[in-house]
Amino acid sequence: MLEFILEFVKTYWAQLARVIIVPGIAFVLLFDLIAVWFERKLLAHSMLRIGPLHVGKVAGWLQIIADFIKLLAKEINTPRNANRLLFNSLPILLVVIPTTGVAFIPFGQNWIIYNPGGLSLPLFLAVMSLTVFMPIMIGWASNNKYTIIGSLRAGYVYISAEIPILLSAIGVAIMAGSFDLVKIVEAQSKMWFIVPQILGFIVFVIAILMESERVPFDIPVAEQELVLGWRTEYTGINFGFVMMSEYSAICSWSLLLVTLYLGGYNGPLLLGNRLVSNILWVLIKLAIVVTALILLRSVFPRYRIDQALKISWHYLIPLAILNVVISAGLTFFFPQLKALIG
Amino acid sequence: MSSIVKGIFKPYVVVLRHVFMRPHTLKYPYERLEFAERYRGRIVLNLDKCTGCGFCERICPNKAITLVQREFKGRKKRSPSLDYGRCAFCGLCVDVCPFKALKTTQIVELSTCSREELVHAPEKMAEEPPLEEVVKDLKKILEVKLTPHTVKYRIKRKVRK
Repeated sequence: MLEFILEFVKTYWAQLARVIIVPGIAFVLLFDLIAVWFERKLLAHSMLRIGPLHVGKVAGWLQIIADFIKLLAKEINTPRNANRLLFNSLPILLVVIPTTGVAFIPFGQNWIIYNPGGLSLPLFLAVMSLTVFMPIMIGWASNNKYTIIGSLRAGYVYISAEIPILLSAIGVAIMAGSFDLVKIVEAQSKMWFIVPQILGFIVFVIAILMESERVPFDIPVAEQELVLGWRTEYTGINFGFVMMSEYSAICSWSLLLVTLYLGGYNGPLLLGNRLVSNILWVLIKLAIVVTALILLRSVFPRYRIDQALKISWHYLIPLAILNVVISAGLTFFFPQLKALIG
Repeated sequence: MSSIVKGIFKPYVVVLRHVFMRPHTLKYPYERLEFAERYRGRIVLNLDKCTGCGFCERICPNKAITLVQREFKGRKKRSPSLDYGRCAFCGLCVDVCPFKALKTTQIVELSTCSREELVHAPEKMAEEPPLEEVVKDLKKILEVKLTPHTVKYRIKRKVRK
């Protein structure tokens, strides 16, 4: 048995390393933990407070683990009229779906968990768009008026965010000439797509803010106004899963942002190893993007739902279509541009 | 168009600047502010000076002070005991004391686990523990420095254990 395991590890060490360490399970879980701590600390400093301090000697780093253990130890309540099976199984699915998206993101030329033959961008978007159903199903399964209202609001916002994301991603795909995320990254080796695709970049950032329920578009949850929206009935570790899914979604969407617009794993050589430097560049870019997205929370107030929908349908979608037209025109009429950027 | 861009980026820059500023709150059990000299916190009694005249009991607006009989240096004497559950920290007892036996300190850490412990007998009122004994985890004592636009904190002294 032991020999078999050793043989297995020897043969498939690269795949195992991808699935377990980076960009697999350990990376996503650590990202969730660190992002929660980092968000609390950063928001505190932006409000001239100190944030977590006491637990753990340095900067309260054990606070998040303590919170997680507290959530594990708490009782799980299921409402009397709820659909028991759906209500208790959906939170797990809610974490799994955004985490799956990480599998299609290249962390190096061959360092990718699953490369579905040149269709990784559409597959990523397809998997991530399953998230839309989760709040609606959870709201229905909880059988409670607050969750139903919250899930309908979530449905509105999610759907109006999906379309601009898809359209702006199409612009990138046209310019790179491929749906393969590796080829899209390779096409940015000279110039990042944020320069020729600036319109698409702006649309994409606003749309992923909507999609991952971040301020100023955290309308479905709206902490200060609603009873936590579609998450109302969750207690204990189920609530922990819901919170984790939020950060997993931020992780996946920010990784896609880095891959599509910020040059992915491209960057100067670090630490003398191509693979390590590729992974480090993705992580550095991810850290910068996540910091910028988190800091928004203490900068802008929340939009009303009608304003958010208006932003999406009146501005983002037409701008994204304009971006598609511009990038199609650029690639068609100026073929020499392709030599310049890629 | 330029106003929209300004509206988006200006608040962002302001907040970003705050991230790198020193926080205005203190790490309380580890750092503590030194209050003003005449701050009205815990009241300390000098048993040698106190004659038991009872002025403090009479002026106290909340009836927090009662005189109790105690034996001090071989003779019986009446001295004040103070109930911090009633005390309003007005400081009238300190002002009225003709022998200057009472004084205010800057100790505000008076909370206890029971109501009875809030009543300080004359012997307890005579104690004046230093700050580092009252706040167990104290490492730095800070003082306020006012500038024309903002408040800054300066380390006055570090506590040696």
